[in-house]
Amino acid sequence: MENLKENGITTFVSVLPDNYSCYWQFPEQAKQNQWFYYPDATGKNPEIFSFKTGSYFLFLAYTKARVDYAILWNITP
Amino acid sequence: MKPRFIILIIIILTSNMTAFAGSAKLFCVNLYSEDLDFQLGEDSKPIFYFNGLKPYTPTRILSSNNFGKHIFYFKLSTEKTFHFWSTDKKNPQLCTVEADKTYCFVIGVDGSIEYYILAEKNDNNPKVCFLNGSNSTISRMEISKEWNKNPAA
Repeated sequence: MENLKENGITTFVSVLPDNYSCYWQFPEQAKQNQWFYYPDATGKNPEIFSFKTGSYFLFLAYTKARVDYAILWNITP
Repeated sequence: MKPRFIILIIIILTSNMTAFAGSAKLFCVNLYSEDLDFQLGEDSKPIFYFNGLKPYTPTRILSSNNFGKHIFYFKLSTEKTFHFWSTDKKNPQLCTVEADKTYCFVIGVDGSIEYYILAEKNDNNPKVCFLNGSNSTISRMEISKEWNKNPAA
């Protein structure tokens, strides 16, 4: 998803069942070709999430106390 | 005996299918910095409610067959009385709930409320929705095996 404005929300995008990681990039990072990823327990590699058939996820970016975060929530009914 | 048995099976199958196929889906995201309570619908028959939704967290999706137009009530978890959501500060905003649609309430950083209908493909593949609750535009959000290489979404 590109150039998502503040408070911007997308439709639910359908993906093939597989294992994926979460990445995101702010404009300042884009200039330097850098990006964030949601880390695994070691903090050194991206966490791998299992996207199973019938599941729903919310990839949420937010700012708390002037620090930006992002997290993947499983919101499957 | 046999035809009756077959008819019974067909009735059971079709009743189960209609119970799930036509449901609306609802969830809520709290981007406000305090715990929130909310309720869609009246006390006598609320269709969607949650007490103590933590900041920066969503609820899980709830399926409902209670279609119609409903009032959205909300309050800080520390408050005693609910307020109704209104866009004109006088009349409650009615939230339409229809079959086969997916809805999302977003309680914003400033406490504002938005009610979205989120389209989705009618397949059983996993699905992901992106929400930017940060203070600035995000250039790119991606679900993939490796950054920027054949992203899935």
